[in-house]
Amino acid sequence: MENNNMGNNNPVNNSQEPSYYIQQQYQPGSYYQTNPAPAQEDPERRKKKANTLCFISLGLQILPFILAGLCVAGLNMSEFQTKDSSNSLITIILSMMESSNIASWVLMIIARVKYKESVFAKVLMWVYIALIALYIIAVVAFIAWCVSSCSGMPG
Amino acid sequence: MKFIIPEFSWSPYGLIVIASVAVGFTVAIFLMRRSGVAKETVLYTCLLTTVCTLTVSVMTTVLQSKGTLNIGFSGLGAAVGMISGVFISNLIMRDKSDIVMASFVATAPLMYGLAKTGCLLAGCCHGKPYDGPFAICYQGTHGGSYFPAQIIDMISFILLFIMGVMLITKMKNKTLAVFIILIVLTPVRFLLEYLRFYHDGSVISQGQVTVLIAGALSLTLAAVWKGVMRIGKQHEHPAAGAGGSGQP
Repeated sequence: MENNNMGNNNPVNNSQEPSYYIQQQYQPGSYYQTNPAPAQEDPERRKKKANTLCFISLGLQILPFILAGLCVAGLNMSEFQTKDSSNSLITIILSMMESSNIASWVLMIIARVKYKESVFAKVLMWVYIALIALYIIAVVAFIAWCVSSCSGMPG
Repeated sequence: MKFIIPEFSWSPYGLIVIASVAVGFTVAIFLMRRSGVAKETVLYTCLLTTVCTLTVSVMTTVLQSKGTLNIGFSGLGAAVGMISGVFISNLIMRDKSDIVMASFVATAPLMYGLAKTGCLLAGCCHGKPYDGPFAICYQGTHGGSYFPAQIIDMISFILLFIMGVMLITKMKNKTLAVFIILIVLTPVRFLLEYLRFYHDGSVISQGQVTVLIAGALSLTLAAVWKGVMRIGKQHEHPAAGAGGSGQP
C-alpha cells in the first residue's frame, strides 16, 4: 500500500493511498510526523533514553579496541608463535570490531531518529562520520601499499 | 588492437573502489530524492549502508583468505552488506522502504561495474591468457597478455544498471523490480567467472559456488526484508494490512 510511483514527487495524490497518510497530513520530508513522539513523554526521560542509547553505541565503538588490546597483551607468546594462530586471532578480532561497529552505528541512528533533539546523538553522528572517513582512508592507503593484495581478491 | 596497462608504483584499486561506491550512492540519492524520499531518510540510510557495505566487503575478504591474511574489497560481500544496510535502515525509518531498497539494488551493478576499472588497472581478476584483438597486456608483476575479462564485466554490469534503473522507474511494483534485478545479476556474474584466469575449467568452480551463495543470500535477505516490512505495516495499520481499502 505504499506509494510506488518512482517519478512522483507527491505521495498523497494517489487515490489508492491509505487514509492514514491523509489524516496525519503526510508531507514529503516529514516522516517524523507520521510517527510523532508521545506528547506526554517527559523531556528529561527522553534525554535519559537518548543518552543511554548513545552510551551503549559509544561503548560498542570503543569495546573492540579494548578487547583487542587485552587479547594481544594477555596472550601467551608461545601460542602466538604459529602464523595460523596469529591470523585466526586477527580474523576474530577484526570480525568482532566490524560487527560491533555496525551495531554502534545502528544504535546511534536509532537515537538520532527517535530523539531528534538529543545533542549527544548529533555529536556522536559527526564523530562516527569522521571515524568512517579515517577508516576509508586507512583501507585505501593499506591497499595502495600492498600492491599485490588484489591478486587474492574473491571479486 | 590491444590495451597496454602500465605498472603502477602504488595500486589505484582502493581509491577507484571507493570512488565507484561514491558514484553509486550519488545515483541512489538522486533516485530516492526524485521519488520524494525524505532528506533524513536518505542521509541515515546512506550512512548505515556505507558502513555495512564497506565492513561486510572487507570482512568477506578477510574471512575468505586461507592461511595468509588478505585485506581488500569483495564485490559479493559488498552486495550482501548493502542489502543488509538498507534492510536495517528500513527497519529503523520505514519511509518508502520499497523505493529506498530499489534505488540501492539498481545502482549496485553500477558500483560493481565501475569498480572493475580498479581491477583492470591493478591487474587482478584478469582473464585467461589470450593474444587476439582487445587483449590486455600487463607489464611487471602480472606481465602477459590476457582476455579482457574486466572490460566485459564492466560493460555487462553497466548495461545491467541501465536495465535496473528502467525497471524501477517503469514498474509500479518496486519489490518485484528488486527481485528481477537480483535474479538477473547472479547468473550474469556466474557466467562471467568462466572468463577469469583462476577458473579451473570445471563446470562449477569454487568462485562460482561463492557467487551462487551470495546470490541466494541476497535474495533471502530481500525476501526477509519484504516479509518484515509487510508484518510491520500490518502491525501499525491492521486495516491496510488486511487487504482492505486502508480505511481505519
